[in-house]
Amino acid sequence: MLKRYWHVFLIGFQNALVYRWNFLLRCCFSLVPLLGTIFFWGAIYQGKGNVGGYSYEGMISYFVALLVLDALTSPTEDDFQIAADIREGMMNQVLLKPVNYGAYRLALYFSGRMVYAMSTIVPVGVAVFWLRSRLNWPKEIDVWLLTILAVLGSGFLQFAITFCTGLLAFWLLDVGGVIFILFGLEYVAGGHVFPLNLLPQPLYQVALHLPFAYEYYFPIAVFGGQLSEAELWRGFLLQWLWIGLMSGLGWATWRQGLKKYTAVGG
Amino acid sequence: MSWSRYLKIWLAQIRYSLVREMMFKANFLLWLGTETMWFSLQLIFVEVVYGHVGEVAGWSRYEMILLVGVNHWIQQLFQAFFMVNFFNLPELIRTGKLDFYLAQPVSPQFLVSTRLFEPGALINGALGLGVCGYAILHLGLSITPLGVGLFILLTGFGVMIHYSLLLALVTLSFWIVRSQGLIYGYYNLFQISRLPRQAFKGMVRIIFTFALPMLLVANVPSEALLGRVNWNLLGVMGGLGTLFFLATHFLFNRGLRAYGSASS
Repeated sequence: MLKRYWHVFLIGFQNALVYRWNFLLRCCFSLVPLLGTIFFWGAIYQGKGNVGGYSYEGMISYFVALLVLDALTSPTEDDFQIAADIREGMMNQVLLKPVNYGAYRLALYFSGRMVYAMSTIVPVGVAVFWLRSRLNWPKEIDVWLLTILAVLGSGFLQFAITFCTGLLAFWLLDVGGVIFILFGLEYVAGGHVFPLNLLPQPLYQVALHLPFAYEYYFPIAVFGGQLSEAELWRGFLLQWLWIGLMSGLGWATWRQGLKKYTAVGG
Repeated sequence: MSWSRYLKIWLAQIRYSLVREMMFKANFLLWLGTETMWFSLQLIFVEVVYGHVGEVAGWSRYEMILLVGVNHWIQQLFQAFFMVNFFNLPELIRTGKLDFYLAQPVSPQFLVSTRLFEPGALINGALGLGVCGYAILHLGLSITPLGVGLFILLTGFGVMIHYSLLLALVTLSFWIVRSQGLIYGYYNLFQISRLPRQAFKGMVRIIFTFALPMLLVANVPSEALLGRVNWNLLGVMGGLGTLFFLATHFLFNRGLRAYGSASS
C-alpha cells in the first residue's frame, strides 16, 4: 500500500527536478524582501532595544527562520496543479487507478518540497551564514525536537489548506483569485509579515485561534523558545486540531466535487 | 506615424479591453477585491509597526501611510496600462504569435506594451490616491498647483522606471524560453519601493537607488508632497528613467532580431 505512494513520490521527485532552476530563481528573488525587512526593522530599532518583546536579533532570527520554514514547507504550485487536474480532465487517470487522490497529492507535495529544499539550499545557506552573528540559536535539544514536530505540522496544515483551495476548481473556473485572497490572509494572520504577538492583545488572541498561525508563527515561536509550557501544548493541540479539520474538509470537498466532476478531455 | 494616431490606437485598445473585462464581471470583482486586500495588508503592517514606535527612518505614521499610498498609486497605474501585457510576451514569443504584432504598421514595442488594459488596477490606483489624500489631510499639508504638477511628473517617471525595468526583464525571453519565473520575481522588487529610502544603508542603498531604482519610484514623489523635495534625486530619477527607457528600447529591438517565429 505504502509502496504505491513511495513510487508516486519518486516520480514526483523526478518531475519536480525539471523546475530546479525555477525554484532557485524564485528563492533568490525572495531574498529581496528579506533584505528590505532587515533594513526596515533596523530603522525601527534605531535607538530602541526592544519592540513588542523582541530584540533586533530576535526579530531578524524570526524572519530568517521564516525563510528556512518556507524553503521546507511552502507549497509551490500544488493548488494550481490540482485545479488544472480538474479543469483539464487529468483527474481521470487517477480515478481509474486504485489510489487515493489526497494521498497521491500528499506524496507529490513531499517530493516537491524535497526538490525545492535541495534547490534552494545555497541561497538560504548564504542568508543564514551572512546573518549568523545576529541569529539566536536554541541550545536545548528538546527545543529542536519540538521545532521539527511543529514544522511537520505546518507542512501538513499547509498541504491540507492548499488541497481544499485547489479542489474549489470543481465549482470555479478560475481559482486564482481565491488562492491569492487566502494567500494574503495566511500572510498577515499567519505571521508572515510580522510576528503575531506584535498585534494588540485581543487581535493576537483571535489570530491564535485561526489555522494560519499554525502555518508560520507557531513553529517559529517554538524555535525561538519563547513559549511557556502551557502555550506550547495548547499550540500543538490547536495545530493538529486544525490539521484534522482541514483534512476532513478536504475529504468532504473531494466527495462533493466528484459528484459534479464531468471528466472533460483527458 | 503621428502621435495622435498612436493615441487613437491606444484608446481603441483600451475600449476593447473594457468590453472584454465587463464580460467576466465576477472575475473582475474578485481580482479587484484581491488587490484591495493586499493593499490593506500593507496599511495594517504600518499600523502594527507604529503601534510600537513613533517614527521609522524619520517618517512619522501618516508620512508612512502617504508613502504606501503613493507607491500603490504608481504601481497600480503601471499595472493597469502595461504590466499585464508584459506577462504575455514570453508566451507570444514561444508560440510565435508575436508575428501578428510584427505585421502591423506600428511600432512592435508599442503594441506589445499596450495591447491590454486592466481597469481594475486603475480603480485600485485611485484607492491609493484616496489614501494619500487621507494622509495629506492628517498631516495638514497644503497642496499647490506647482506641487500637483510636480507630483504628476514624478508619477510619470515612476511608471517609466517600472516600465523599462520589467520590459527589459521580459525581453530576455527572446533568448531564454522559460522566463516566467523572472517576471514573478519583479513582485519582490515592488516590496522595496514602499519602504523609506533612509532605512537602507551602504551598498544595498546604492543598488536600489541607481541600478534598480526602487527607492526612488515612490520615495521621491512622496517627499515632494511632504515639501521635502530633493532636487538632486529628482534629477537622478528623471535621468535614470529616460536612460533606462532608451536602453530597454534598444534591447527590445535586439531581441526582435533574435526572434525566429515558432509558428507554421
